[in-house]
Amino acid sequence: MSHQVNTASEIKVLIDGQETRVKPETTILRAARTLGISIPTLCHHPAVEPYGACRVCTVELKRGKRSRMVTACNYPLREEGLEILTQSERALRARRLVLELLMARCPEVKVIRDMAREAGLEKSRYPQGDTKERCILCGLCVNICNQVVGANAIGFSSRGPDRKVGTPFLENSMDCIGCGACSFACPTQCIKMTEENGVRKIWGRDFKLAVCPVCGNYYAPIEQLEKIQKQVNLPPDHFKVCFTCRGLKL
Amino acid sequence: MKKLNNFQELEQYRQQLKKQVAADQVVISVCGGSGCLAFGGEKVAAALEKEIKKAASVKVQLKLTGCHGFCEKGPLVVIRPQGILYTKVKPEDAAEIISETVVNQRIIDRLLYKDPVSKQKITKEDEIPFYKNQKRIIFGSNGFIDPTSIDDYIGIDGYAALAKALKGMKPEQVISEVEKAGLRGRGGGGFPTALKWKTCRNAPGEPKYVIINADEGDPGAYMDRSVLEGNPHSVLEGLIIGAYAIGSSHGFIYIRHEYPLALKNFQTALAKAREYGFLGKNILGSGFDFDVQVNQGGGAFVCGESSALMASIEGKLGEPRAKYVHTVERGIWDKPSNLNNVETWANVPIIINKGADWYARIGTDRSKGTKIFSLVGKINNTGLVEVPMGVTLKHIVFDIGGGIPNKKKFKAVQTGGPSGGCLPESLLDLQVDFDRLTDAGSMMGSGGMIVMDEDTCMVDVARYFLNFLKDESCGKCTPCREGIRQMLAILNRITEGKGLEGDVEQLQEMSGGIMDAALCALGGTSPNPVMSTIKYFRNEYDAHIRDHKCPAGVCKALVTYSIDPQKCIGCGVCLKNCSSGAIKGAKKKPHKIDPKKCIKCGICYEVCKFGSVKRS
Repeated sequence: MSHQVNTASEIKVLIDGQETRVKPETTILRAARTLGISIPTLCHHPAVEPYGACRVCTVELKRGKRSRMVTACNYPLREEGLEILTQSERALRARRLVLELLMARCPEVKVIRDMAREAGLEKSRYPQGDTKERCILCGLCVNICNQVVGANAIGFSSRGPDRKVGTPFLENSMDCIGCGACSFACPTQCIKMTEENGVRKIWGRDFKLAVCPVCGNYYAPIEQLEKIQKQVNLPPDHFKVCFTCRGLKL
Repeated sequence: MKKLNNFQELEQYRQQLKKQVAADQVVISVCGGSGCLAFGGEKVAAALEKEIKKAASVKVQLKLTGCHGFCEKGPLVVIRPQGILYTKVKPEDAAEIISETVVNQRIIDRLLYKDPVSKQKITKEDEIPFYKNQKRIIFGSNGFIDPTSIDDYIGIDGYAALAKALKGMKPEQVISEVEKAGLRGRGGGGFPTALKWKTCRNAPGEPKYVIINADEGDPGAYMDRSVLEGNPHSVLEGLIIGAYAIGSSHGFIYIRHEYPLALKNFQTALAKAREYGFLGKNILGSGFDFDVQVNQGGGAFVCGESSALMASIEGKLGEPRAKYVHTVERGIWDKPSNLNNVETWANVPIIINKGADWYARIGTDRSKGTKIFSLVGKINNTGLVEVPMGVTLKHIVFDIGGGIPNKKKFKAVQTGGPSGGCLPESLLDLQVDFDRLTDAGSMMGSGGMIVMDEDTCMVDVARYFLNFLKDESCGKCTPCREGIRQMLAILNRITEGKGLEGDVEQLQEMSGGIMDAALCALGGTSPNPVMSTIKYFRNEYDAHIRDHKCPAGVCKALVTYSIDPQKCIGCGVCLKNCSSGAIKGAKKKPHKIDPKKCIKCGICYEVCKFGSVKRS
């Protein structure tokens, strides 16, 4: 009895012909994944609010005879009787358009090329952009920095085709703590981060790394440890040893 | 001024104001809209004021009002009660206007409007075709009131609708009245206003916000600016009534920074409304509290989109978000927020005052009331026109607009702003309403109407609007940011004579994809200029691509200028005007253009009186 699911609060949805029941407000993407249906994404990350910028997860949503296009990552399922088509001709046309445009913008980015190939595109018909360009402006780095790290060190500047990701006025930002979450989350690995001789370089700044007194390894930028310690209100010596050694000690 | 504490005090005050104005009071109304001010309207008003002071024998009231609409002929001066209209008035005319017209009741012939068709001079404002063919329920008051005077507004029954709503109507009744009237949003979408209000009212969450969208930004459109400049209280009154209906105590106006006069007049209106007790606590003793905060835009076109506008009010980056959950449910700070544009709010007091039945008799089945259009481009009577929904394009362009200047042929009219569409001559009989414009591949938008003549290249028009949209795309989503840019590249190559077979089909395919995949309505409608010009002017695309010709002679790369030696009399006018020294020729001998030096500016073509310069 205790394991009975309250089905009344769930809604029925049909995705590519497969039926499932989800809690209201579940996104199409989540519902599809529980069915094992894969929808490509670029700007989506479970740690941040869906942003809906890249548009590769565009799918067709049918309500009776009416059909419209929505992004799977942020469309909340709230009503009965919806049918979602992730592979319809219209959905594929939209996805191909997005990928072809991104391929033209960033000709050398593998993840885009692979995704495009899967959608049936070998190359882009549009004039190719700079082969060094890797940023697809999905905004994941900005959203991670804002919502997860809470540093707000990077953001967007300019608009339209001139839009850029960077620190304010593209100058060295004192708000950056060198955590590298942006670089880690970037789907196209376009945010450069290097580590050498105890110094991490990112966004034009050098961050001194803390040394673990137990194992002697560098483990994280000092600024990052200080910020997290203050932000979460941890004891001052909480980050004294590296994460591995702390685990061993416990 | 003492605060008006209840409905009775308001009515008493109104009667008192009305008594002060005698029926035969001479009122000179000088248009102070941005257009007339640019022509020197303020100087005309100052000169008239000086003359009025001199002529002590007559009692004249001078009003610097908002825009009258007939911007082509500014500065405009109207003398009431007769309703005499003088056009293109200069400060030097002031003395004569007072001594002749006001004192001696004589008409000054040279200042009258001359009808270009009948060649007749017309004395009265309401007799000239431009005004006669309009129905100005929103815009008409502009000419009668000083926008900085709340008393003027109260004098024309201002705030009577608010009193009526607060006194005798439940919020739900206000909403149902607006519903019965059939009011639809004037900002572009045409969404039923009452449905929006109802959803917002019923949405869980407090506080609720109501907002005036005054971020008008379509090229060539200035209806909202002129309503705000000329009759700010009508918009404010609509907002207060809406707030009461929705259950909101906090309002915003989001006004673009480029509208300083509208901002100033609206701020004056707010201050006066607070002083009189139309804003603040316990409005007119009804127990209803409401006030308004002013937010200025920073120049981004996209901030006219509801979710971007609300992000901007929150102090965030002005970019749209998905509206799968509507802003009426989760808007500013995730609270229910109801946004309507300036003109929509201005319709509300009229509906409440005159009743839904009266209002619903104007217009077509599914589009009620009137719409203000800004009629610009290749048109004789540039200006703002208000017509009932359902009149034909022909009526607007020819009967009101006076047709195309310089005996040129009409080619197209672009409606709906940059993401609207171009409608050809064959659709001149189309009745203008929300649904018919959309069905024809264009849209109502906020009311821009740009008329184009035979010298307009439709591929170039599509290119122009796409270029605007490229610059104004926020850049958040891929289809809009990258797609418009790539479509523009194709259009550029077509206008340069480098178009390829299949380009049109590719543009159509991209348009379909962008419409489906873009995040917001601006991106989703951005291919409209291309789609509609392909739909109605496909032959022009083909001429550019296949024959490397620009039929209208606009696209420089595809045009050459030459002089017909048979027709050239060697007058030398073209030679004198040529800025690049490309024209050579002895006096009274046929001249020649050196194609290597010619920059194709077309000045020779314009100045030749003998038609000897050929453009091909």
